[in-house]
Amino acid sequence: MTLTLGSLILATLLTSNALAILNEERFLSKVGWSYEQTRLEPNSVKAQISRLLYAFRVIMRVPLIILNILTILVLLVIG
Amino acid sequence: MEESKQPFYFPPPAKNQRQNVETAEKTTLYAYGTENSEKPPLNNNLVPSPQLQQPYATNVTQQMPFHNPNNILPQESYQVPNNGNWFSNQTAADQGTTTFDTLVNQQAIGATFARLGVQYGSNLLRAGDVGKQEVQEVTRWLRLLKYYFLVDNQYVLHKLAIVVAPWLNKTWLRRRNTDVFEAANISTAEEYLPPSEDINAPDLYIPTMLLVTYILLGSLVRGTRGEFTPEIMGSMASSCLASIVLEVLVVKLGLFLIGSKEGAWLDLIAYSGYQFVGLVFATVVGLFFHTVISPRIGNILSLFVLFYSASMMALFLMRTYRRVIHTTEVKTHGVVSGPSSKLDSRKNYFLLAVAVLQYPLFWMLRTRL
Repeated sequence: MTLTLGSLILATLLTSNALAILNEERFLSKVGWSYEQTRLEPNSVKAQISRLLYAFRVIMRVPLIILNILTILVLLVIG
Repeated sequence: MEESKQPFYFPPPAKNQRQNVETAEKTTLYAYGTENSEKPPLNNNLVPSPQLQQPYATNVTQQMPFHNPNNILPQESYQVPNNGNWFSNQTAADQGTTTFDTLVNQQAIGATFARLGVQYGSNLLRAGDVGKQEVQEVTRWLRLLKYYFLVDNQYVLHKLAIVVAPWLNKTWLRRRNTDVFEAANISTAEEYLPPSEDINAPDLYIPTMLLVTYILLGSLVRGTRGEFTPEIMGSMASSCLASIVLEVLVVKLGLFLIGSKEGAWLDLIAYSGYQFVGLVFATVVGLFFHTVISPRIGNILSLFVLFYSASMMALFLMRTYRRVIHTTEVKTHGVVSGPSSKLDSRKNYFLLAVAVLQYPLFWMLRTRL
């Protein structure tokens, strides 16, 4: 039983950080995955992913900061 | 002016009192003309009822000019059939300015209080509405949950058989609730028939029961080896829930990527929870042969059944999710017939990913005998 709820939550948090840290101008637009570039073909998987990344950056910024701080504190105290 | 009012305000007299009543009219006219400033305005409220007052009116108005010219009773006799406040306002308008002012003030205060009361009442009503809305929200959620537990014995047996052997099932369509389908604002749960009437409807009864069963079974297996500690149950529950969460997240992400709007959260949880059927099946078979024949055969058989169950679960989920994706495209009344022919490669990849995901999940959740 390697997978537990705690490790799953941690993995989700780290993945969310990884998704939210991708920069629009510095990285995504050079690869061709920016929000504006993919708007022309709105139904493709690429467009959906870039939309998801955009939503992640917009919505999850403040919650991710709070969750990261909480996780760091909890891990400092407990584990 | 007062004469025109009198027949309207005067109480309907009895026949034998007719004469007295006419005299009373005259005297009260006199009383109106003379005593203007003395009338206390709020005495109107003291009048108890018209039945009590009528003998007063006839008797006292006869004596009134002689004995007590400031008596207010004859005036009160005028407002017998009427409402107190309204009448007092009109008499006050005919009277002097001081009483008129006090009356108007009192009327205004009364009106203010009345308005306050109305506002308070409407606020109360609105607060009641808010509470009612919350109650409605809770009942809506409970009804939504209730849908997933509307099972009967036949459904449970058939569903277990379908999960273990998906080729037994001929059609994978969920039957729509045609009665409610016409109505607007129906939730997803009400759109389809409940599990007791539709074998393809997802339920949460089987996942819940089998999750608990699987945890207890795993504890039993550990107990047979003498390794049982209570923490094992917690870690097993954690792993099982994590597996459900992981699969639901993957499926939800996949549905989002292929642009499907279908797939309620509880549906996905239910579909994902059916994996415990296969896990319990494999564990029970393994445990049986482990104890009855030999541990080695039990282990091998358990792994074989685990592989078989994972494959069948993959098949079950592929069939189910293909229908889920398909319902996005075809939303019509009644039963949609025929398999979807327009599944493009993205959807096939999604189905393949969901199917392949079952093997590591089953492998991770398996109980070592």
